[in-house]
Amino acid sequence: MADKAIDFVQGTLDMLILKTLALEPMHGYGIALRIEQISKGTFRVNPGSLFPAFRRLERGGWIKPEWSPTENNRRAKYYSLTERGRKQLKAETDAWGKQIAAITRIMEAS
Amino acid sequence: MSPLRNLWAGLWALFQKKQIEREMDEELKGYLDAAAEDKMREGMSREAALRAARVEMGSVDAVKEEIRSAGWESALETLWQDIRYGLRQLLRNPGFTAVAVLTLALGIGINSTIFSLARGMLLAPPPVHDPEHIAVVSGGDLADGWLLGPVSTSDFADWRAQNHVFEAMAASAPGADMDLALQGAPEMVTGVPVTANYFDVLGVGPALGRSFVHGEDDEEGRGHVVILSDALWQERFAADPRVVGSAIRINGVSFTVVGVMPARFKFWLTPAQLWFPLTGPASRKSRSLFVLARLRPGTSVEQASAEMETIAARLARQNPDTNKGWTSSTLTLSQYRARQSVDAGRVLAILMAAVGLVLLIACANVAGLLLARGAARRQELAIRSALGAGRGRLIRQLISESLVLGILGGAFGLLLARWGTRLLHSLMNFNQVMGAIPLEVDANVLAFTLAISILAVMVCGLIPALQSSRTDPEAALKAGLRTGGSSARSRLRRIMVGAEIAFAVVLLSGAGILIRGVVAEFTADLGFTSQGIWSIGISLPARQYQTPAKQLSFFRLVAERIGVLPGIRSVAIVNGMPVAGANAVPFSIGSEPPLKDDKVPQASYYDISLDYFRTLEIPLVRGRAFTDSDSANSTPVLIINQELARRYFAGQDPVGQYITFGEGTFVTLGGVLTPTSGLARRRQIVGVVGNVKEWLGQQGFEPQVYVPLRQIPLSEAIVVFRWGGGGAPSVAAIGRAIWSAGSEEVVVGGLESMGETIDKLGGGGPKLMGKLMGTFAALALLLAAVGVYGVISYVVAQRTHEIGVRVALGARRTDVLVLVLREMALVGGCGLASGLAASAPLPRLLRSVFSDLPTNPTTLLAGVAVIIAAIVLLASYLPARRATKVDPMVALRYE
Repeated sequence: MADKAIDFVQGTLDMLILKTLALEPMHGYGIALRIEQISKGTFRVNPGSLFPAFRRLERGGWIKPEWSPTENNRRAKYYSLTERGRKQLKAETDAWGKQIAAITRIMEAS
Repeated sequence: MSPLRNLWAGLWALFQKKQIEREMDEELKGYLDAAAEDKMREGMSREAALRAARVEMGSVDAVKEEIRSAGWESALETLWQDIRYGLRQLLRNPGFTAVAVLTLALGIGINSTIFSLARGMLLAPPPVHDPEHIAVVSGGDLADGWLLGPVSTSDFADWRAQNHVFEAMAASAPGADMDLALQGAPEMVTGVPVTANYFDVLGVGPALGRSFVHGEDDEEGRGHVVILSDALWQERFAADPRVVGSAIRINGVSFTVVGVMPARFKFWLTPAQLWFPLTGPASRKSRSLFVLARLRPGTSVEQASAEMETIAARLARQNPDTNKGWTSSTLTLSQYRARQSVDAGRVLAILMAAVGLVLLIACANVAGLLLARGAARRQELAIRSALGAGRGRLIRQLISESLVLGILGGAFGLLLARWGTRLLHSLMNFNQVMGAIPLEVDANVLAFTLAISILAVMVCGLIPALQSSRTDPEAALKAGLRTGGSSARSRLRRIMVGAEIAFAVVLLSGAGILIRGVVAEFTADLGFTSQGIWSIGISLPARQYQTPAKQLSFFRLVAERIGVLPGIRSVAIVNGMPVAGANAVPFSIGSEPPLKDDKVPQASYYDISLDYFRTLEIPLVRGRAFTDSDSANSTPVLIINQELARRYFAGQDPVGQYITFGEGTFVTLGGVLTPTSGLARRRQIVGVVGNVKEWLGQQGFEPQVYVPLRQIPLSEAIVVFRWGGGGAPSVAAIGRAIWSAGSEEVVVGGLESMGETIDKLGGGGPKLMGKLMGTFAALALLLAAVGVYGVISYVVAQRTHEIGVRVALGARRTDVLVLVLREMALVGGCGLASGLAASAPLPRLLRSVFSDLPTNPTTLLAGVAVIIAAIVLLASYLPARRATKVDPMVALRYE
């Protein structure tokens, strides 16, 4: 499991979190799980980077936390995307698309 | 990221720390629980699932730390932690801390003191309203290009009446020493005559009572009113508000106190303890006024200057006798001050450089201490580094510790500066202008102190921090305490000590040159014996002493009365003190009066009583001194000095020949016109006396003539006497003697020794400078010696083992001593050489400010080299001696 996980490209974790939260508000473990599942285990998010990223995004005003009950009737901190966050996600997605295209072109050029 | 939100969130995190931490715990716990539940769903047991979740997460504390450091506030917290840690470290080493803090405090304290002087002299705004719109209007002599001169009363009146550029013009006359009679001994205070609108033009009102009102400065007005300075009011009237409206006696005349100025009104241009209305006859010849004016709104100083020059040119055409070649110059207050203080700026630059060097030496010492301590803390740092602290983290920690040192040093430095400014103020009281410079530790000085404290920390903390943080934990932990430090470390210390020695050499040379200049000035042959000479000025009220006979008999009586006081050796009367400048009188050799021409020979003119030469110990070279028989009815006589004889009677005997003075009037030093009509006659030379200097630092001599007081009486003169008693003569006794000889309206000036007179005349500046530089040089020497001592102690401690081996192998004590002292020889030699090289331009630099300094500093520099070498040797010998006492058994067992 661990051996096939790879590190995040620098700065992409924030984008992935925003993308994940674009669907619905989620708590920390939910976000980690969703990223791991959708990447089919390629990306494993470690709490040591996940939570500082939350703090950063919160400071930037892109996500906003709220304590709500979980499905198991416990209290958990749910993060949701703010309007600013949605704009930021759009900007990052566009930039990412351009980067990927450029990198792909470079890598495929012989 | 919006910076405001970030700031707010960071502050929130700092102040709501508990809640944030609690939420963080809860969130992480929730994460673990969720992860564990997930794993249990996959079929793990509850325990196994929890453990697996924890393992995946890693150290909870590490995660929390990472979360915390995502915000900026964590850097602040780290700093605070470091500072607390640093404080604990410093408290654990009180000796080190005390030495380091004290060293820094010394360096910082003197810097703050000199900065407060610089601020007071150059930066402090004048204590007046809207200083940008106040202009100083000076008289200008086109012939010699001197544009900041005083103004005559008639010119002032015309300027005031004819200009359209100023709202108002005010003037002040030079301050005069006046006698303030309160209970007990009379006190001399400086009173400045000002026009009634003076304070209105400056825009400063009195703190108590009122200003002068229009008309109080009229010729008839003669209000006999006075305004006190805050200092005088505090000191002599115990700050009693009832003094306003009461009468006080000044020079024996009753004056009504109408106001007290506020404490902040210390105007360096016209320092005074009291002010009274300026009255007096109109004159165009006698120029003594200092003129201030407030510009009309919307009028620039250039426009004002142009108009004033036009008016001055017109006055010059209308009054060619007195005003030909005179113009006016109009400057703003700050421009005027800049012109006046070019020298002050240089002096301050020299002083700031000197204290800056002392601070650098102090920093080098503290850096040396920190380096040595860094060596002792190798293990501690290695452990921290092994536990995961990066090099940046270690450097930050070490710098924080230095920061604590710096702040402590700065705080104590500030205390020293408070004391230093007070001391400096008392040293500067030798003349009024210097005494009026505001010297205080204010917000600017505070800010400066903070800035140099932090700078000092950076200078002395950074290099040791870089050096000490470069640890290889493995090697350091293995080596234990045995090897004291890297060779790079001790090389660094040696370089720093070398620099300290060089700085000390520069300071000592500078101080030496100045002090030698001062000593030279005070031991210079002035042509008379200045030690023991005291003087007091006397001015007779014209109404009561109209006739020369009355004036003469008064001064004879005064001399007689003072002469019988205990401790007084001899008394004389003269129109002006030697060294204090002199009045020139045109003359010709023979019986023909001199032509009215600029090129006619001139001689300095002294009107003296019989005992003058005896009192000042001026030698009579030829002929005779004046005697009782030289009276108003006998042959007019005079005595010349050797210089006059040399220039105009080469190869002849001047005694018996004649000199004829030119006609006209001239101004005496007291500002009073002395008609020379009585002088414009042929006088016979009866004697030749030695030359006397006329101003400080005078090269060579000028022709001088002496006439007998009995033939040309004075209404204003100086009583000069030789004091043979201990301490200072009693002001009260001398005052009583003077007033008992005549009317109580006789105006008496301040009693001062020749030394004080010389200080006032400009000798005080270099003397103070010499004292200050001497103090700084002594501090520099002390600190450098401490630095040398530290390095050698360190070397000895480091090499104890090696020395033990050497002694065990048969090395003698002297071999060991030489071994250790050799460590210092190269460093000391390099420091000394570079210091001497850097001192080479000092004499020229200092001479640009203080003109009469010795020209050849070679012997002085040699002396400096000897002193420094001796001190370095002593400072290294003391700890080196310890090396010779190393017991090989102990040293080897010390392993």
